[in-house]
Amino acid sequence: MPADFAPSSPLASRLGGSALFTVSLLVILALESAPIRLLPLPGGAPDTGFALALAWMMRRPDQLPPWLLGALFLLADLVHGVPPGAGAALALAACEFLRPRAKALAALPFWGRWLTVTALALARYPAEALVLGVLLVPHPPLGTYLVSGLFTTAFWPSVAGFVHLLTGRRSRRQRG
Amino acid sequence: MRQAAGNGGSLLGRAALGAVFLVLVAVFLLWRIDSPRVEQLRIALLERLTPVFSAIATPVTGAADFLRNFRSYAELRRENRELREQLRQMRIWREKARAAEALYAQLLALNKVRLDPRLTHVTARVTADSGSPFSRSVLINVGRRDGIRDGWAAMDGLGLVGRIAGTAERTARVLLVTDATSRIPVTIARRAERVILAGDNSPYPLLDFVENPEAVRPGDRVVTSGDGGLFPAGLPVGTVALGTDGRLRVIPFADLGRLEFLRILRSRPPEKVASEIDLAPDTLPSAPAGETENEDAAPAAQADAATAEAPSPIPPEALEALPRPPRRPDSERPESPDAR
Repeated sequence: MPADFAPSSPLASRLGGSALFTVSLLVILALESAPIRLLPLPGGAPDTGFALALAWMMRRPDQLPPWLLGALFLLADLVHGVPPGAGAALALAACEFLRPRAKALAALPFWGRWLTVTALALARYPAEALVLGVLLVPHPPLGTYLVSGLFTTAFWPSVAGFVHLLTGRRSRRQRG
Repeated sequence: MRQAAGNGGSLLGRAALGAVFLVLVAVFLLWRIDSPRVEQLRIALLERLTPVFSAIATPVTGAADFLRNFRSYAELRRENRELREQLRQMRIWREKARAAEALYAQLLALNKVRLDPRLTHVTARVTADSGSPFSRSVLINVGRRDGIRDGWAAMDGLGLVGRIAGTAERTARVLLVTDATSRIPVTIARRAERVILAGDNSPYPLLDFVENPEAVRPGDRVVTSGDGGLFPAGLPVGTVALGTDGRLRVIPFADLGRLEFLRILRSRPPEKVASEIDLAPDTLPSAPAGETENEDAAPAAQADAATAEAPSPIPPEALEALPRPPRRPDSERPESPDAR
């Protein structure tokens, strides 16, 4: 696992990874904004893009420069129809929390990483509700945020598997 | 080279991160201060993105549609039987509706009410579900080019869906009645109870500011009241139900889970609130007859119709779907009608 890390990878491979991440996130946003509800879940919905960023950050933080994450999170906020900026800043903070710890996390067993994601997801959403509440922005009840955090957590393993497929193959090819 | 991305410890990396963070916070504060302008940017961006996104999502939406259709074939038989039964009941209702229509025509003639000829509608297709658990809205494929303005009512074939909140050249955003920021003045039909329909992102919006809850029963029809001048009065909204939390909620008539086509009511010409002096009816050339009240159709989602006073009685223009009733001024009926 830790061998997958290539912090000093060539620029081309890093840019390729960034592009792959961008495309994946755009596809997720496109599916989320399709006029039919693909995942009819009650009370909330997973933020799959956020889960993708967290999973990617644990494997290849070098491919996710802060400006790219910020821009994509802001885009996600705009597409989701929520107050732009607040959620993006908090999601970015969660990812940047992971960045220096990525190497250590990769050494952890799977459930350890999952627990980290759970903590981050459950911290991010109530924080967003708090920020909106302090600035007197009308927002949904806290329960919606908590449920969404839980859904994000529940979806994370499959997203992480997807990320494993994408980044794993890439780094193997680059080593070989 | 960008070594910072790897270890996150270098000065350059921290500066870059701080800058990105500041930009995001600035965007949020800008939105908080000048929401309409940022929403304008948002809808303009979404207009560009929607074709790309729907192209990307085509395989998946196509497959989902296919599955849905397949499932519906299986249900056709049962549905057919149910429909026959419903049709039988509807025939009875049709007779009642005919009687009501005749009565309505007579009352119109008595009142010399003229329906506003500008009260037409635009039919639009839903292009994207610009929603998330935190906001309920859809995008439609008409916009400023088609004369769509902020604040207009959107209906599907069955009932009120929401109102326009944000327009671009060929796209508009419809804020659904279930959105947490949606506040719509409604009235309980037959009980003259004026309340606010407040969305909370659940499928069933709340009834807020109910003065005497004992008078409101589950099953009562809810229609728009027209207070605040935002919407025409009398648009069907839904039926009252008692939520599991013991609060009064509304089950919308509109099928909000599966919106395909929307009808946008051109409810009134766009007006600007200039100054108090300008509000005299004769100085407003664009105002429809009998309308003296202006409501700034603010594009902001926070346009709080609840604060507007002076309800304006609007003729039930919402029934524009009805054929023009025949005028029979001679047949007068003294008894009181089935009052709204």
